[in-house]
Amino acid sequence: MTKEAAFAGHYAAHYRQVRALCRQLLGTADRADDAAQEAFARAYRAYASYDATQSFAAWIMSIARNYCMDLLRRGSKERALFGSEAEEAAAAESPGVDGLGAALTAERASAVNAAVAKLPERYRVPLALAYFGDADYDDIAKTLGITRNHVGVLLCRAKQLLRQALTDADTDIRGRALQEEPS
Amino acid sequence: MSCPSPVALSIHADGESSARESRVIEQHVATCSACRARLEALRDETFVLRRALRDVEDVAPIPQFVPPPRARDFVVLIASIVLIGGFSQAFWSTVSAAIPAEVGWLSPFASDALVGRVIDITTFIFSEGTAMLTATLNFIGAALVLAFISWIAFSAGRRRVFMGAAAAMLAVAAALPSTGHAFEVRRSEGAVTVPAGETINDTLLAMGQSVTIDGDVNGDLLAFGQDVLVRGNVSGNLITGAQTVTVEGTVGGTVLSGARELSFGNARVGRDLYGFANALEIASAANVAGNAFGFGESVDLEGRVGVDFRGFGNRVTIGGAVEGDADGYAGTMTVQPTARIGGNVTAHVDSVGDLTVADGATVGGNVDEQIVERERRRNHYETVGYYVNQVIRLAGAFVTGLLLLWVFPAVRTASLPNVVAVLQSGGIGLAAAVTMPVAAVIFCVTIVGIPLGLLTFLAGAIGLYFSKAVIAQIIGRGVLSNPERPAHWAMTLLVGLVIVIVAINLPWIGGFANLVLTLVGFGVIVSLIFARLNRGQLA
Repeated sequence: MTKEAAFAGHYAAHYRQVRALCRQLLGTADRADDAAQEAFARAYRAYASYDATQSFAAWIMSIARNYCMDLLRRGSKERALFGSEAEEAAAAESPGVDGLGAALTAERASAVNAAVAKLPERYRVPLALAYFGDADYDDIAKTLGITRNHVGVLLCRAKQLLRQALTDADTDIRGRALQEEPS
Repeated sequence: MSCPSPVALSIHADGESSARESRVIEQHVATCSACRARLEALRDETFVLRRALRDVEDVAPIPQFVPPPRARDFVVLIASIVLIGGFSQAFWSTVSAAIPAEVGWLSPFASDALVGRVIDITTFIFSEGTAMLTATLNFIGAALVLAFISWIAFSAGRRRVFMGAAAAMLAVAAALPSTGHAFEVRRSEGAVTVPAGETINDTLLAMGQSVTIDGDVNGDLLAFGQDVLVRGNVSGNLITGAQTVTVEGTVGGTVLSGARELSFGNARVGRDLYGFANALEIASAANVAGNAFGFGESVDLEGRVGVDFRGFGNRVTIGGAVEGDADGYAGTMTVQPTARIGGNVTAHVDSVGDLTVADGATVGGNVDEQIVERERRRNHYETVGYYVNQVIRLAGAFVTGLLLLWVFPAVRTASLPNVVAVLQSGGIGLAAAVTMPVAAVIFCVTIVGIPLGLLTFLAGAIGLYFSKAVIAQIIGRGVLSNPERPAHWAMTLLVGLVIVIVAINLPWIGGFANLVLTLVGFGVIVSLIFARLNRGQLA
């Protein structure tokens, strides 16, 4: 099989997954479309260095992830991107924010996704890496250039905000989150 | 101990706590039901979150992957423009001349009458050779410069080297004047005129409702509009497309013209004339120094043709002088009393009596009426010579096909997996065969200026020429398909060619088979080239 045919096969098989990761990391569909194309373009150029005994999915996902991270870093004042660990930790521990309940588990996937898309970047990115990209804390810490504990704090915060958003949406207008899901 | 913090618990739920921390939390949870419930909820939450994120219902279609451009693509692009541009220039004027007689049957243009024009290509090279060589060298030089500039610009864009971009801009600016004066464009909603007394020392592209040329054009003239009238002098070739085209002046080169009504009055044509029209008239005052080819519902020759005349049409009438042979592929062909024909008169007609030669007409050679087509062909099957010819044809095609597959290995694996692919390729082949010359003319005038000519013409002709070899290879592979032990490509080519030869010699449907196979094969070639271009892999 030629390189082109092999690559076309990989593209068809992994595009949606890559696009979804880009969507989670970048937040908007437009940016995700472009980023997914760019990720595959980079993979195409570097295809010679791809070790066929390894998983293509893992390889392309890491390319996509790195590219998205580059974009995010470029688009923000790098130091502020993930906030201060201490402040975040304080926010996470502050009383009353951890209202664990049925909010998250009872929701439909589309509502959860809509809420995730609305999260600020600093929470959305680690969340996507951890629960979509299946990266462990060490990976995420390395990718984001923050400490391992900071990752834990951000994830905890992310989930708190998600619960908050979903509870608000429920009490506000039931189902609004469902309709407003950005495509 | 006190309850663990929300963060610690969240980290623990993700399975990311340190070993020591884990032990502490587990011990605590064993005794604290509130924390146990929280931990349980967090784990459920993680599960739901993972599932939700993955559950993105992505119904949008997967877009086409566009491979990143490479420097090579620019070279290929420029090379293609060169090829296509030049191809168009020479395509029409030499289309029938470039095909070697022995394997001429592979060509869709093959016909007995055209085989005789092989000699023309030699003449063409000698007469046009010097000027063409100069133009060719200039053109290749310009193309290389352009390629180099593009490459610099491309590299600069990639590496964000500002200097490189600036250098490229400068180079482009420097290169522009040399291409800028290559042709002149005159465009108007209404009338475009070159009045008497005005001289244009360039190739002129004129487009307008009406185009009237009374002055002189020292170069080629390309004129498009509703009415085109040429009364002045054109030193080069004349290419026109319009509803009515009237030529009253002098054209130094070849005339290629398509129109509903096409007439040559007091016109002088230095080389050949190719006219496509509903009604084509070459009046008695007109003089064509080279060959004249007329395609139309009615083709009427009253003037003089310096070499051969060929008329394709429902009614072909000859009342003027033809120094060479006069051939008609016609419903009816009439040679009037005023006609003087130096060579043979041959009519390819449906039935005896469709050719009329008036008593007063002078014919230097023989008068021959050839009845097309079916009766004659059927008789062929009974002669030995027919089969010998077919074997010779097979051998010729096999050798050229081998050469093709050897030079372009990609063709060996070209395939048409299903009926849709066959139809698609046929469509592409038809579209390419029809639109290529048109697109090429546009390229020719808008981008490349005076094009290459012979060399590039060959590239286009070769595509059509080899289309049957390509289709034969595909058919052969289909017949000999054996996934475990694939047959050698030479073998599949041979088998395929045998089938193709049989198919195109079938009575009644042979001509149709010929056309279809040619178009499908051509479509495959075009697709292959485009696929390669898209992937930037034209090596």
